[in-house]
Amino acid sequence: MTAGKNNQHIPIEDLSAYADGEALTSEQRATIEQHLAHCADCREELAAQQTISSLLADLPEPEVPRSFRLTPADVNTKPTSASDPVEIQPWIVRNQSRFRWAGLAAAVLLVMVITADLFSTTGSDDSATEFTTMQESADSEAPAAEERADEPSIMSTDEDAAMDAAEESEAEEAAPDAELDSAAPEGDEDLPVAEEAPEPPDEPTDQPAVELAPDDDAATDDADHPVAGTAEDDAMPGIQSVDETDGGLSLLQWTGIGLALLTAVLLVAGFVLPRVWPGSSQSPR
Amino acid sequence: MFETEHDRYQQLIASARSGDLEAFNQIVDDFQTLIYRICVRILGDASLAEDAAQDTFIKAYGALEQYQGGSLKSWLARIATNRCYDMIRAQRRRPAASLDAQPVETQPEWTVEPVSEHPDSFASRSQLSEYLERALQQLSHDQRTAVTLFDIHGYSYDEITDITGASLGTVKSRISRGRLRLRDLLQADDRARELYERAWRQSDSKT
Repeated sequence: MTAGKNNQHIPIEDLSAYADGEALTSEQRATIEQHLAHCADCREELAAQQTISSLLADLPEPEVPRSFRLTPADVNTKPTSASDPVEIQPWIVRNQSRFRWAGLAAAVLLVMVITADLFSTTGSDDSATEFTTMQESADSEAPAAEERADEPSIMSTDEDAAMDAAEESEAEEAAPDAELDSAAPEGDEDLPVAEEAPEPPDEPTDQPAVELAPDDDAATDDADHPVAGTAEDDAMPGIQSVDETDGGLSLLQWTGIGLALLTAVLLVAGFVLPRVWPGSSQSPR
Repeated sequence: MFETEHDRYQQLIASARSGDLEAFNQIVDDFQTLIYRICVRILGDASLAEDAAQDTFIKAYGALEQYQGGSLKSWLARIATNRCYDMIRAQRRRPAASLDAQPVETQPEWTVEPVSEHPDSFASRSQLSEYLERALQQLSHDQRTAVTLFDIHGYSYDEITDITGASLGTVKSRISRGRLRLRDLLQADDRARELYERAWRQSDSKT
């Protein structure tokens, strides 16, 4: 027991490097040899490394099943291997979870805007100041929502295409809805929001027709009908003139309409389009 | 001799870069066995390895401009191991599909046909090989790659750092720990342990 180093076992990495004649200086090798002379444990570990190594070297190796020479066709077409279909899934399918989350976020913002709007109109006169601050906050939320909506789109042209397609498929809302019922496992989650979806597009055009708005119950009953809220506000005397319904919409309400549209588009892009898109396999994510 | 072989490959690559597919295919002829075998060991599946090997050469052809003139053997092995990693990752994403695609792994573990208790050392040696091949499939991908490249295909530690992008210390650790794990896996089975210890005594008496 003259030198301390003889008592310490040699790290396994160094033993294998020693066995392999690799990655050690001649000094390190000498130290290892010195240690091995006294240490049966390390000799055994060394022998194990050597045994496994030689067994591996003796493994029977398979013959090549065919030639891998390239043909002109291999060279001209890009190597889209069939073993990685994730790469060739349609853009809309690859991004569907992003759309879902963005749609959910937009829906949450929409609810907030509606709440703010209801609160600002039903409140007392004192709340006029509150109204403006809320409007400000709604304003500052609106760009955020737009950012989120833009986020998923890497190719803006495709995004536009998706939007268009989304709006088209809104027109025939009944069909995708039925599909949602049967196909979507998260049906409970989708449906309430999906019902909201068809409302907003009708909103601006149908506005004059909503004459039942002054009926206060309509607003409170239909908590899940955001539009009823906005219609009611127009009819409420106080802030704006009642005659011009279209012109009477506040910034907050316009924001709500925009958000509702956005929500609808995102949810359709997230839930409906991936299922009906040509070439998309039903596989989730 | 290495000089002339190296020169020959440089020339073939120069021709291939200018569009000579036949020149590139001469390289394929020389390396396809090596590349295919590396892929078989890393993936543990013959048909996946076939795809990986083919992809390797297609990728190499497309990446000829990026070849820096170093060891062609290491460069191709790097493309192959990367391709294998990609395939393994894709498999993990689709666990259901991988069951069909990997006959090797669906075989029940550790059920080598008892080749009768033959004292014949060739028979027991090949039986041990079967155990070892299965044990190899149970290593981590990194360990399996390092051990395969060094022990089976004779790449040096330095070449393996070059191929895998890992540090020398990491490569040392993967090789030594990979082998230790293989030994432990063999010793976990009675029959394998017996065969291993016989081989161990043989290699011990040699040294």
